[in-house]
Amino acid sequence: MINRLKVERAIKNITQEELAKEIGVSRQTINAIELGKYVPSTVLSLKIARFFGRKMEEIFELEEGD
Amino acid sequence: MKTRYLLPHSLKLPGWIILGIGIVLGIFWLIFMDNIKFPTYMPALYNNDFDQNNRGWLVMITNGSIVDEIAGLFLIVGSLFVALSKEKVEDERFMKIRLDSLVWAVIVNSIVLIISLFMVYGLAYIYIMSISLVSLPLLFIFKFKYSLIREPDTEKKYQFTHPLRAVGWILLILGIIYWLLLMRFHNIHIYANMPALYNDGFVQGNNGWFKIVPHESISNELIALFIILGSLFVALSKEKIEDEFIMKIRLESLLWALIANNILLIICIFSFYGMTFLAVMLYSTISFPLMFLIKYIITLRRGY
Repeated sequence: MINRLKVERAIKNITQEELAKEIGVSRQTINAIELGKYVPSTVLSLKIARFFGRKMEEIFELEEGD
Repeated sequence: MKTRYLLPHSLKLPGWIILGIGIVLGIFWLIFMDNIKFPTYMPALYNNDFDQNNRGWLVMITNGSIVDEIAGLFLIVGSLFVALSKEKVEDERFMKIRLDSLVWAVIVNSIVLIISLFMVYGLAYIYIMSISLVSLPLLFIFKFKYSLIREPDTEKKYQFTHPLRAVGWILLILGIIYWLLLMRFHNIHIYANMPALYNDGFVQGNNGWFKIVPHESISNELIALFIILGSLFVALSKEKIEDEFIMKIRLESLLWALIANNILLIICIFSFYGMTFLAVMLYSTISFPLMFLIKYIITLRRGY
């Protein structure tokens, strides 16, 4: 799965740490998601989407092989 | 997103076969231990068996019976293959059930082990220790299979509250300090009259169920208790900010520790003989929780 988390974060101009705090996860988790090393659960993905005021599909997208 | 440290599904069936042979051999050996003679001339890394002439490092020994070593090898390899091979169609739900089952197995195994350490004495103690070499993956397989049938509540978490982390560190440090001191000073053993669930041994008389074992050293047991409880409290307590990614790190650390610990066990089974192997079995009670803890902390600190 590919995601636009880093881009969205840049648009909002917030750090991983701040985003993590807003959503209630650790900074490592945000970092792992951005690096594509961790696929978040539905609940976490929805929280992230809601925080950025986007639909989930606008941030997360299936890629070949998923 | 792939989970690390899982084996391919194709190892599942061979795993069951190897495990089956291991169980049959193991039971066979436990029942007919004294009658099976299968002398084998083989190398040992270290041997201090009373019956052997060749004691010391890197010697050739005549092993009285190789059946127990083979049974151990089959049990360890078989249970590892079954426990860690992927399901036919592996998905995230299996991963969640796998983690819950593994944590459950680690907790149950530790409780039973600690109770046995303090309440079983003599020859029966050595039986328990032998069984404990393979009990964790077996318990896990049982719980995992059972959960797949029962459709568990995946919201339920086997975790300790965050404050227990600090308690865990204190226990762990106390355990390690006492362990190091005990290696240096032999007069700091702690003795107690222990109520035994079962005593069967070298200890003067008093054999049977529900006996008091007088003036027994419980130093090793205390070290095991402190290190097992300490590591598990630290690694299984919630982090300050606990989330699903940390749970994944925890699962992978458990899987890694299971593999590493079992490889180490196999090496030890074919390397150490005599009294040293008893020490190996005692160390094996703390090696898994320690490996789990170290891997977990390193992954958490160093990044994924």
